[in-house]
Amino acid sequence: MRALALIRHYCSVAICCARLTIQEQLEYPFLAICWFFIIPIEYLTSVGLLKVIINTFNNLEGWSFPQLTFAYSLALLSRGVVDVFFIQLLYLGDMVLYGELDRMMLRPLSVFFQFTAQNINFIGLVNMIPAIVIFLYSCKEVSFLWTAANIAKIILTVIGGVLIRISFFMIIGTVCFWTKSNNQGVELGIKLLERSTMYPLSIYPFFIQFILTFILPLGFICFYPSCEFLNKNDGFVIPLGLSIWTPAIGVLLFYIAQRFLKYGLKHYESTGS
Amino acid sequence: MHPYGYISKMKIISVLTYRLDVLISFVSNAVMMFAMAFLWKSAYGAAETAAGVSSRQMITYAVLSVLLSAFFQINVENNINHKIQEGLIAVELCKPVNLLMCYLAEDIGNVIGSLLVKAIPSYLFALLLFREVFTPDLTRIILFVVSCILSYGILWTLSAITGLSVFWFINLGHLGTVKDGIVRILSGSLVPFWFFPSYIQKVSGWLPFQYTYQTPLGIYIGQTAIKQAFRDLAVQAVWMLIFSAVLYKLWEKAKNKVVIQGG
Repeated sequence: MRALALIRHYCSVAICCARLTIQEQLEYPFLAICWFFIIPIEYLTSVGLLKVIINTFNNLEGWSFPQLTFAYSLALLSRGVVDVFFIQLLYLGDMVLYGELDRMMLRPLSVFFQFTAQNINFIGLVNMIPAIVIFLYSCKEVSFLWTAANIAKIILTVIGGVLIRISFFMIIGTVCFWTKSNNQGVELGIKLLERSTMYPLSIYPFFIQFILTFILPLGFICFYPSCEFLNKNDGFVIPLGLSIWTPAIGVLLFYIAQRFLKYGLKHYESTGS
Repeated sequence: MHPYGYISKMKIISVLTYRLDVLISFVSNAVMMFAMAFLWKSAYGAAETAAGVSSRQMITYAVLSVLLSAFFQINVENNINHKIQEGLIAVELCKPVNLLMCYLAEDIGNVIGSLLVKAIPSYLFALLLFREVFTPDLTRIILFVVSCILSYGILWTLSAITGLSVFWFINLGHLGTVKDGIVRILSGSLVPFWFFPSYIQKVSGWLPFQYTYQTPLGIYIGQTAIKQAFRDLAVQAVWMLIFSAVLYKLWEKAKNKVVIQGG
């Protein structure tokens, strides 16, 4: 009974927060319209540029255009989820610096829940549309088999990708507890994510592939899973069906990131603001 | 010291002060240089040339494009947005200086600082790391530098025009990001227009964007003949003048349109 009441309480808070954020976002229709254009433009250009490159050179390390868009759209799906629910992770550093996180810790609710619920980016939902369109297009082109096992694998991959992405930003945000400056680090993180998911890892030399596989496992967001779906033997050969590794690594990274965040909070000295 | 010169100097000093920023942006540039250089390297594969550009030229193009974007520091848009949001614009307008010139001086300081601590070290790093990256002869280097200055003029005036729209919209929001996205695609900074179908090349020739990145880089890598280079420089100058005129007109209007939101 108590558990049920607790869940109901959490739901009511989430709904209330959602209502507030929708109202806030609709307050600036101009901003909403801008968002409406930015992401589709960004996605379609990246795809368009890949197309131009493939038209000139036929393939990229043996990857055809549909195969490239398949991998890229897999990354876009996990990015879409992150943009809707966790976009505020990009500002984790700012929240710490301005004391916002301290306030959350004083409230009788889980900090992670508050953090997720306080800013649901509804406009971000629109960004899922181009991602899904590109994904469905490339599924058709690479003749992807819609079996139950494959669908489950795709879902697991997306969840794993989301976990890898949010852990990555959590770690960057935590580093800022010490450095007291955030923006440049987040920008670097965004660039790294973009560049390691847009093209196959096999274009990079061995040591970069090594880093993106074993040290910063960003290759698991889309490269290794799509290698498996498309039957390619690129990059490092990893046993046991690659798509299984993505959620596993996601969970592991998320655990590490959370421990790191807690450690950071413990050693956090206020900036005085 | 002249007030604008002083503003530039202060900005240079402030760029040099944030050492961690410098370090992170160095790493950031390195990531982008690696990504773009290896993308073109593997795209060319065994092929020597494509669309009349050799792989060596294209890798140089990609690396320098990253450096240019690190060095074209433009903050005027955010500056105006911030000043209006916070109501600081009222005080600023009372100062006995031309506000736009102040912002320009600040950005130029930023450019010089970035050139010293970000772009030049990254360039040396690239020369060491990628054997393909080359330095052309002196004529081309001079033309490249002139072209870069004109490019900066185009980008800055465009950005200032976007910034001034805040006087009417009150909140700039993501308009700047939309503009940056469009510039990034249409400037040829990622993939130059030589690889595009000819009708797109024609359309782009009539737009100002390709004259911001593709023109200076084309001169540097030797894709643009010297004669053509002079013509391109003239087109750049024309675009810069057009945007400056628009900016001047808008600024005259904007000054009478100030809305102070309490601050």
